[in-house]
Order: sequence, then C-alpha cells, then structure tokens
Amino acid sequence: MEQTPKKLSKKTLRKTWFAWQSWGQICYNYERMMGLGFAHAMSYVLEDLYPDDKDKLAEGLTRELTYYNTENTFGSMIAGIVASLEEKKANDDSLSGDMINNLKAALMGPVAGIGDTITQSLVKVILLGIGIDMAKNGSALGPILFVVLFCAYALIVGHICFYSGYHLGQASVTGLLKGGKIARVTDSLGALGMMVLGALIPTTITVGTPLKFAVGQVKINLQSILNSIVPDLLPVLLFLGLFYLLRKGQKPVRLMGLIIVAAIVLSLTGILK
Amino acid sequence: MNTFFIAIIIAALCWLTSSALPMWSRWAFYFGAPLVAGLIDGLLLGQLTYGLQVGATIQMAYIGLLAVGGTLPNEMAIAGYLGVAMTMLSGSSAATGLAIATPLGLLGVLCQNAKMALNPIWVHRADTYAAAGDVRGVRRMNLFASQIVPFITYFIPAFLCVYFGGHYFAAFMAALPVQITNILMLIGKMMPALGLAMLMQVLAKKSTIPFILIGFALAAYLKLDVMAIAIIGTGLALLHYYYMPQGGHRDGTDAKKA
Repeated sequence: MEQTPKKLSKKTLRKTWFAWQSWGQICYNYERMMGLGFAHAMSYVLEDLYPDDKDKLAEGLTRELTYYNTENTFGSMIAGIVASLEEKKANDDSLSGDMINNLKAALMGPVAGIGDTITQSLVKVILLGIGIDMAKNGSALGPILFVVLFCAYALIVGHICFYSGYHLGQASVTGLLKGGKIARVTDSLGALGMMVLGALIPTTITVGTPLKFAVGQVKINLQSILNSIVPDLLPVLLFLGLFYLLRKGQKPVRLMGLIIVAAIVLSLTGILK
Repeated sequence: MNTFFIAIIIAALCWLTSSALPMWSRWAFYFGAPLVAGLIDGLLLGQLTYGLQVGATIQMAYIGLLAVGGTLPNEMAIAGYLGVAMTMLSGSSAATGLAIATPLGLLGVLCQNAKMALNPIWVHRADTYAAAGDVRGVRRMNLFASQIVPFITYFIPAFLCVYFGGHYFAAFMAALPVQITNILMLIGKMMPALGLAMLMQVLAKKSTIPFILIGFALAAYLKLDVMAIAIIGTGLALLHYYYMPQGGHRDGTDAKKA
C-alpha cells in the first residue's frame, strides 16, 4: 500500500524556527555549546514526523544533541536545512543520520563567520553608534530605538534564513557561501561599518592634554596647537597605536593592562587628562 | 524606591540578559547592556539623564568588543546593569563609570565560565531523556535546568553587591584621593580606543579604507551626528556595491591575514 509522504506542518516549522532563535543558546556550555538548544528546536520536527514511533524519536533526538556552535541569526539557515533533511529521512530511510551531522558540522563554521561579521561588527556597531549618540544628549529614545531595531533585525533576518534554508535546501546555501554575492554584500556593509568607525573615533575617545608652555611672556596651550593641526589628533594616535599592536598579534587583555599602566603614568605626570 | 526591590530588579536583569531571555532579544539586551542599563537603572534610581550619560559612556568602551566563538573577555551584563547601577549609587561621574564597570565586568567573566563549565550536567541528563524518546524532558533541561547555575552565579552576587555594597561604595568613592579618580577617568577615556581598534581589525580591507577617512572628517570637522553619517554611509556603501567587480575586491587584503 502506498503511503502519503510525510510533510512538516506550517505550525511545526514556525515552532522550530522560533525555538531555535529563542532557546538555541540558553544552555550554552563548553562541552557541546549550542547542541542541546539545537536538539530542542528539532524536537518539534521529530515529534511531528514520528508521532507514534518512540525508537525513531529517540534516535533523532540523540542525533541532534551533538556538538554544535554557530551564529544564531544566520544559523537559522542551517536549522531550516536540517528540518528539510529530517523530513526527507522520514520518507526515505536510505538517507543516513551521519549525513545530517556532517552537514551541520560543515556549515556551522562558515555561517558563523558571516553571521558574526554582519551581526556583531556591523549591525550592532552602527545601531549602537546611533543609540549612544542619542543617549549622550539625554534622549531615552537612544536605547529604546537600539533594542527595537536590533530585535527586529534578528527576527526578520532569522526568519528569512530559516525558510530559505528549508525551501531551498543545502545546495543553494553552499552555492551562496561559495559565490561572490555574499562577499560583495559583506564588503559593502564593511564600507558602512568603516564610515561609522571613522565617526566614532573623535566622538568616543576623549583624551586631551592639559600641558601649557611659557615661551617668554606668551603662554601656549598645547591642546589648542594640536587642534589646529588635526582636531582630535591624540585620539587618532591612540587608536592607530592600539590597532598597530593588535595587528602585531598583541592580545586585547594585555593591551587593556597596558592602557591601565599608561594611564597611571600619564595622569600622574600631568601629560594627559 | 526601596533598595531591596532595586537590588532584586538589577540582579534579575544581570541574570536574564546574560542567560535566560530569548536569544533574538539578547543581542540587544546583552551587547547593548550598558546603554540599555542607562535607561532602566536611570528610571529605577529616578535620575534618567544621569543614567543615560553613564550608560552611553560605558557602552563606548564596549562598542568594538566581539564574542568570537561565543566568549567575551568582559561580561557585558555585569558591566552594564550592575556597573551603571554602582556608578550611580556612588554618585560618580560618567567618565569614572567606565573604571567601575570594567573591573566588575572582568570579575563577571567568572560567572560566565562557571555557567559554561557546569551546564554539561544538564546536557548529560538530556542525553538520557533523548535516549528514552522523552521530548519534554529534553526541552525541560534546555529551558529550565540551564538556569540553575546562572541564577547562582549572576543573580546572587549582583543582588548582594547592590543591596549591601551600594551604601559603602558611595563612601569608598568619596574617600578616594583626587589622583586616583583622575587615573580612573583617564582609563575610561582611553578604553574606547581599544574596542574601536579591535573593530578595525575585523573590518579593515584595502577597499574600505577610504570610508574611515570620510567618516572621521564628517564627525571631527563637520560635527555631524552618527545617524547622519550612517545615512551618508548607506548611500556610499550602495555605490560601493554597484561598482564592485563580480566576486568582490580581489585586492582587498584582509587585515587579519596581512
């Protein structure tokens, strides 16, 4: 007798997406990172596919509870692909569970690379830059706007990624990762990120010098001379110096220590304030 | 408001934003912790403008900080919600706030490590539930058991710090000699440079260097605010996209690899 192929319901897909984007990282740990969160999301898929088959359900849950670590927003794409693969496997047992796990392991790194760059170093920085600016001027709208826009970004992008992963499958995602389009998009977003970064240097680094020289009768204020060369010259030099040291391979924690030592010396000698 | 309730709310914020809120909202509440804390702590302590200024100042130092592979060198929930509250309770200036928040954030890394190291307990119990096909058991471990360690490592220390420490902290900050306060403030002013340098390390490519110069000039000379610069930046980024060769800039050497 021919069976009708199993198909995930719309409700199951919605629950899976939302569980991944909400609870994927809630039990974050050194041993399996987001593994349990991923299994939680897939539990809705497996429950729908194997309603009366405890053995298959157990097998599926164990399969999805392995080591897993990626970026949450763009990582929704992988959750979508795995949901579609689990659906295929339920209809065709020749598809092996190992294949699903290998695919997860192969995609999580590259997707995290793209996701971390876009979510953390671009979207976050631009929205924070705007929010900080408004808050500094005493506007409560700064933090509110930041929260609303960042949540909207995560939900909208995550939703698109999950459903494109589910409908388009692994081939298109692998193509996307390899193809030039994502590189062009990341590069252009990087351009915007660099603009905002340039704007943040003079507005957030606020070191100055209180030094004054007396030349004959005239007292000269060093800061006003520096300002006439390039405004915010000291912040720029400090920024470039730290960037140079980072590129030389210095660890941020060491540089934090260096800043503390430098601040003690420069403050006590009255060179910087 | 009663100190007890303020301490409860701030402690709950440290715990929820570091571990319990849905991840799609934690991006904002966690990575923007000091900024958001400026609003919430400011309202709680009845000094909104002061709170916003402290929050914005502390946030600047963390703007470039990235969690690579999921771990941060500084715990943002503690530095944010607790750091802003302690700064405000001690009546310190916004610039000093950074020197209060950063050490707290460094201690907070211990809270984070404890959670990451102890949570495998629940993962192993989830393994047992999974092997039995118990879907609810697996979900219970993920949603609820996972909160036991963070509650102990985040909620309790933060509560004790605000409830018992707030009063002494004010006296402590007031007794500090002016030289020490000056040093703390200078650290606070220099710290943002490190975050921005870290960001530059991720973003810098040969083909995007011109944009940092434009952004700098617009802010330093024309005094435009970040929103205006972001709008101009979006326009330029679109031009950059349209006029880019297929497959991106081949000459664009990655700063990390260079």
